[in-house]
Amino acid sequence: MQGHYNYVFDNITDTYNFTTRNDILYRVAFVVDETFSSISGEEIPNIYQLVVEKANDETEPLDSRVSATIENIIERFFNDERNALIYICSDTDNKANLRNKVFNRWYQKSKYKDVIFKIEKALPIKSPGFPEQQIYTSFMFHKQNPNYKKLKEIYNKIDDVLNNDK
Amino acid sequence: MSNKKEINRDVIIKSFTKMVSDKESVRAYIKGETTLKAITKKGIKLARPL
Repeated sequence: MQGHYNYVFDNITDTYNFTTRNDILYRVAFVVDETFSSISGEEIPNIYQLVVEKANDETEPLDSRVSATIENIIERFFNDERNALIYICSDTDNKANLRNKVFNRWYQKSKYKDVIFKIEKALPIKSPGFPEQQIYTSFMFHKQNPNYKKLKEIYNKIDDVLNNDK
Repeated sequence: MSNKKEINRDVIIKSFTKMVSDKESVRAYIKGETTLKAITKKGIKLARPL
């Protein structure tokens, strides 16, 4: 298997960037996420939302080095055991379920699944003025995370409130 | 349903709606459709955790 692409943090865009052999630029952003703090009412740091996107709309031929690169980024991210990652697939283009399956498949193949815990839930979100949409969420954290129990408890509570308390 | 639970439900929906909105804003930013300044104004913070 080929290795990952080299990537660098761009201080101007605040993203990790890499370019593929097909000259396609990918940017990976970590968005500070305060969802768990808002819901629990206590400050829970080190939670980020992962956003991976091509810088333009060119079609990328299958390239296993792209997923290898993202995997490497995630692996390094979890070198700090306090970090936690949330990945969401919203259904803005009706491809959420497909993206969610791709992400889950990646995790199942990952050699890090023994140390990185992942839970996923499909959450029904109904915002005022908009039809209900299903949001596929994956939440990942290190098994040595000092907030392990608290994170899991909050995440399960979210599911409980949204799915069982309509 | 207790008041506390109603508040929690509202907070959760509001938080997840923001999460989805933040993701779309960041995707637009990466594609050059909006600026870092514009997303920062929305309260979005990009980090360098590696």
